[in-house]
Amino acid sequence: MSRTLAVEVENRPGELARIVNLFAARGVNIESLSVDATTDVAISVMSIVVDADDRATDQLLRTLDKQVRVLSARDVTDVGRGFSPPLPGEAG
Amino acid sequence: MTAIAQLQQEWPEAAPESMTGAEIVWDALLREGVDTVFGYPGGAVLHLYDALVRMRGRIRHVLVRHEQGAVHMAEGYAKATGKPGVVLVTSGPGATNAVTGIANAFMDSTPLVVITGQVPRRMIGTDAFQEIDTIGITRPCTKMNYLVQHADELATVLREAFHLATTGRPGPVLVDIPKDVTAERTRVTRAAPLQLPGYRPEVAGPQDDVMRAVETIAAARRPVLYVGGGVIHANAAEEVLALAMRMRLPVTPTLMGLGCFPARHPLSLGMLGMHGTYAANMAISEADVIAAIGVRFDDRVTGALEKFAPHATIVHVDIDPSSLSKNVRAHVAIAGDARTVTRQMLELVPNDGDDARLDAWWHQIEEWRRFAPLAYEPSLDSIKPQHLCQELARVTRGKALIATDVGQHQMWLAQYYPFRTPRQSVTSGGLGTMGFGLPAAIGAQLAFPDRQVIAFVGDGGFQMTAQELSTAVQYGTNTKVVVMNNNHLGMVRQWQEVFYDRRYSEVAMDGAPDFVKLAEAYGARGLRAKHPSELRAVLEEGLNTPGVAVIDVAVTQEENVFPMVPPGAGLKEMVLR
Repeated sequence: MSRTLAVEVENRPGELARIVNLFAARGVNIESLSVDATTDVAISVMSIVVDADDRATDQLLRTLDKQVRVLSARDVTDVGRGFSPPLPGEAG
Repeated sequence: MTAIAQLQQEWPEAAPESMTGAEIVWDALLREGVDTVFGYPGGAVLHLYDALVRMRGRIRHVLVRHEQGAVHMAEGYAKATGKPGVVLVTSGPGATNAVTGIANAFMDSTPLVVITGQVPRRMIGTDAFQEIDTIGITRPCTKMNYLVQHADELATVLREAFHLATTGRPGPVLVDIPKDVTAERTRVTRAAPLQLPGYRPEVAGPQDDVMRAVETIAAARRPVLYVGGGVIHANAAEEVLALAMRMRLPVTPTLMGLGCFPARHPLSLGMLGMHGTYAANMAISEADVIAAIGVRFDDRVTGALEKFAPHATIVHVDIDPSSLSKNVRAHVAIAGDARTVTRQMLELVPNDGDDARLDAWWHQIEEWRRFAPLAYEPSLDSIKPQHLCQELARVTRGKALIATDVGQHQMWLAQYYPFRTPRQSVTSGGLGTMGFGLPAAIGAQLAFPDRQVIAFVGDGGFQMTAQELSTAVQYGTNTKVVVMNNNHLGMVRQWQEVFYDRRYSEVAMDGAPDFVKLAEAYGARGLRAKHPSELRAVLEEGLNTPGVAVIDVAVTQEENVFPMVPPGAGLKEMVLR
């Protein structure tokens, strides 16, 4: 099923490539992707829609979360298609 | 005005507190306590090598013969010492040659800092000479990598690189530095305080989970303690030994965990997995509780996942949260440092140990040990590779630090060499890199010049990085190379024999050089053993030779590694002979 993942990441060169590469390397297709600024200019939020089962999603989230520049990675599918960018410093 | 005077006017002596990028790099390495750098110069790192001239006596640079060798040496150094290994190579082919070593370190969680030169900033993206997208290529096989944009960033990036390489789950970090950044002067010569808001490696486990883990293990009737490389990285061997002894747990190490638990300890079952012992694989398969510490349930350990430990409740402790429940669902999953969590567990272990509870289990284990101990058909005419491993253990009294390549020799050594201390075994586990052994042994030897260090390699892998003999000789090491020579790519041959009806395809290594003469050509000593009757004397003579020696041991060619769990089978379906 389609899942929406929200990834809070430091706004630095190469981070988008690092994150999308994790999906590509696992053969997971990204259905849609957006990167939005937050009120903290140092942090972006990526909203990534993928077709993946529970187990693959769980593994992807853990792998995303362990990236050095990723602050949090969550499955926000049930929160709805849109979501509010978290406030700076808010825990994931 | 002379040309020189004109140059001096254009490049006035900068204020003393400023430094060039190249100087900042060496200064940062000194601050990190680096004593040895493995490297190979080239165009993009000329400024760095020029600044190195002023580092004489403070940092030793080891000039390798191929960049892959530099990274493997750094890994051997890191695995033997626990300190980060440092590599310096140039752009383009320097970086791409290093990639295999970086990937190897990534898979085996070895702390490395790899510095690569890059073309000057204005030329990036122009297909310049020796330009390649190094950070693009290495992104999937580094814990973190950086393209440095300004000299101002250098000190901070390098501080971060060392911090990331050595904390949490260790790994390689790459810093790509454009040539002009190394020439740029800046007053920002010191690292800013670390700012890594997304990096929070777990250290201690949640107390509730640790309590559940201890209760689960204490209530078990058929427990097994399964331990791996994470125990070595975390320096947790003493704690693991204490836990095993307090709870009377049978212990099985992975390939990466060899030495983290003494091989000859009565609680040790030997290695588990594809070429593990019968007792270890049976115990895992029949266990009701598996306590897994510093391991990742690798496919070479588990065999077919659906048949793995079907009755067991799994307690899994690992520093990397993404390793937990990745392959095998853990019932109690604790993200934490192996030493800290094991200490937490030790505090909660009940003192009123019910010793009789495990009697039946230990009785069963004894039966498995007796039923199928490690064994092979001895020979009076031909040196059996297993016999070679046993002789090596006798001659070195089980105390040598041994680096291996990948293949049959690696598995036999894992089975027959009684590793008893952490960091005694240096091997390529995850990536399975042929050619790792010799350079890794040289790196370990440079860290410990007085230790007995042996590269135990096959004739195939040896030929992949044999040129590093030159490095071993140049730096006056005492590294010994034992070549288990079956004139074949033995493990591939074994698979072709067993699974392809003996249709041997491209596995004979005909045309190999005479390794004795090769050793002599490099200025090392060469020795050969062909017959079982001469094996011990040749090993003793070779290993006692000062300097570098290559001992070429002709072994039985069609010998297979057993036990063996066929691909797709469960651990209990192992073939014994």
